[in-house]
Amino acid sequence: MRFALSDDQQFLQKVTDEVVGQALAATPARSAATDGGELRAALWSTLVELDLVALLVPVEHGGPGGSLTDACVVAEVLGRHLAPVPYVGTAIAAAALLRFAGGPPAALAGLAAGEPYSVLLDQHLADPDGPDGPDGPDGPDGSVSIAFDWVAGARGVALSPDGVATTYELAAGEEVDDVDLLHRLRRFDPVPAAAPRGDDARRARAMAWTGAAALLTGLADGALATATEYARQRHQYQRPIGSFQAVQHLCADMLVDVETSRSMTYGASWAAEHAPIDEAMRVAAAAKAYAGAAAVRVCETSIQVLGGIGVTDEHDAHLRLRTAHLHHAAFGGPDAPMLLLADRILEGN
Amino acid sequence: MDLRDSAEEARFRARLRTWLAENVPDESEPAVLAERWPYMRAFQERLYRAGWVALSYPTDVGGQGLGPMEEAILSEELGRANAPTLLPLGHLGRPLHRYGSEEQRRRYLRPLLAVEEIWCQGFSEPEAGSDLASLRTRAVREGEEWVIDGHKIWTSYGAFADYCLLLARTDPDAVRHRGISAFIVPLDTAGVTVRPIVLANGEEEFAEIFLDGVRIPAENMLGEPSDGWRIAMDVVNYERGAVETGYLPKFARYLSELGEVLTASGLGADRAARLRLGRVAAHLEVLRMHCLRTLSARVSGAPPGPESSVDKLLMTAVEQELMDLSIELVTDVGSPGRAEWFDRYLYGRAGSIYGGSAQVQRNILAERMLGLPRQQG
Repeated sequence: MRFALSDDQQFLQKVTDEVVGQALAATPARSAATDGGELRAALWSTLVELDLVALLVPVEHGGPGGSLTDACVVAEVLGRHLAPVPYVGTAIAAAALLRFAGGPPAALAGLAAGEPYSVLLDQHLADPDGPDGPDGPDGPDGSVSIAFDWVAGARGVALSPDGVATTYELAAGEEVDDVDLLHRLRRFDPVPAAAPRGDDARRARAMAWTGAAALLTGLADGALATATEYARQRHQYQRPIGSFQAVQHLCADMLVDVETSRSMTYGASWAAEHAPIDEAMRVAAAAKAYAGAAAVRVCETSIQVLGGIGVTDEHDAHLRLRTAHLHHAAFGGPDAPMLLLADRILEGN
Repeated sequence: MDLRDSAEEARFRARLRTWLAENVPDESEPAVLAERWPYMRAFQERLYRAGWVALSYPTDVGGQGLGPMEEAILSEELGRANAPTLLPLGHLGRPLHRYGSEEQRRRYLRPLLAVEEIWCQGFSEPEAGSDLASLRTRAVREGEEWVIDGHKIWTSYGAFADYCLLLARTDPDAVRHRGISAFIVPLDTAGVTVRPIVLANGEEEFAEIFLDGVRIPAENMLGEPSDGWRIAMDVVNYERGAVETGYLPKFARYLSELGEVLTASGLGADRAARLRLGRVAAHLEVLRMHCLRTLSARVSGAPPGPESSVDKLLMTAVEQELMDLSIELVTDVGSPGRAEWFDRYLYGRAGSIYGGSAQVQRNILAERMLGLPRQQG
């Protein structure tokens, strides 16, 4: 057993951090909300050139054949910088669905080459209050219509009723007004879809959950960094507010959330890809549930430490909180992983 | 990242699993400490004789010469086998091993690891709790002896112990933590009085130790004079981890029992109850993964540092969440098991106090991990 990033992964982390940091120093992330997709496209082509988008695409389909841990390293860095790119939706969720659930090889090759793909979200597939929840094997099939992490020209990927990953041309559609200003959702004519049942589709689900957890961990880490830096510099009562115990404890709680999310996410990044499928689902569910709730908590606490500036439109804190909420709710809703974990325990009785 | 067992780890796990299948007692763990203590001790003696504890200590002091990952496997397999809880004292061997003289290691370490001799730690005092550096117990050198006077409190398992790793002030002129030394005190020495403290759940897990002109040989100092603070910080950093203290399998057992309670209460299909159970299950999984990460970092041999406060806050949060859920689920007055769960719940409140309160842990993280400016008086 070895629970640590390899030297290569630490290098990947460093390079991604530098590249994304430089790009967003030149053009702030927030401009993606209004620039008609210019920053998103520029940053995405940088990631494509570095072969970071294709990490989960196997070598025979033109990818570098990386691991989910590699992809999570990238997702965490992107989250820390609040990078407005569709990495979790395309490079992790869509890629995993295409790769594991028998998607067309040409689509994987296209994804590796930088073609845009969005995942059609499945949260409306099943009755969330039903006995099996949206993830249960007996959840009803249905249709999906909302593309997650949508970008102009993207094709949609969904699990069709026969359990195979299928791509769709997405015509027109309309922008969905949700909470996140940097990762977009778009509504299209519904396509038939199934809940993930087979082992391969469940594997893809576990990887999507873990990818979201990695992005959420990065979002939280960035919120912590912003808050502690501010607490060191902002003076009140003739001293830095970071010297007040009340503020220190808020920051310490954020650190606990970030470090424990990181442990959970990287553990899941290995398990979701390599462990037997039941274990993979269980660990990925814990990662998604925990990192989602933790990121929302940390982004909220960061706003508290920032004080008034934290609740203005001008500061990025709300953009970060928005992105955290979207990813906490992605891929079946925030409750699905917890219901899965509970039912595992109850089935054992 | 690779969470698979290596070939050696897999063989170790398989052998351990076989041994546990044949050796875990049928009778379940007694609820009352007076009965639980001999039950836990007897099982741990058997574990030690069979070579399954003290895994990461070297063989020449009575360990198995294995690494932290074997400790993680032990923890997992004990939980899986529903084995008795380990005595949470393994961390006390660490300072003996690191700071002890050749003679001290030979004399004390093997019996400690074998639980033939029980150890406790004499750190806190009535006026030195969170502010441990203000401790007043004094040791004065007289010829070839140290003479110790003072009063220790909150000593875990003090009433069961044979030896105490005790902190005392040896240099009254040095500022605070600089004048403190560590001693090995046999608790049957004249002048030592041990008085159990009855906790809110009725148990006597903690004790007070009164030291009145206690004379111990000069060679019973651990490390050099004024090493006491360093030694104490080492001990608490180990104490704050969940694997070292054997709590992980215990929590896993609680979670599975709570699943049974939920089913028995007819809440198996209740969405809110399932969400609560799932949330706690996720948190326990986080603890497991965080322990693996912590142990992996320790493979290099470096002792834990201030980051162990994350482990402690996490461990405490998981325990209190488990116990809060039990109290939410077992609401029928007089229902079977309610009083027992309540006692565990009460005990869970201690988690955020012992080993450095949750507030002290946050101070440590803020100043030493986040580099926030020091608090001003």
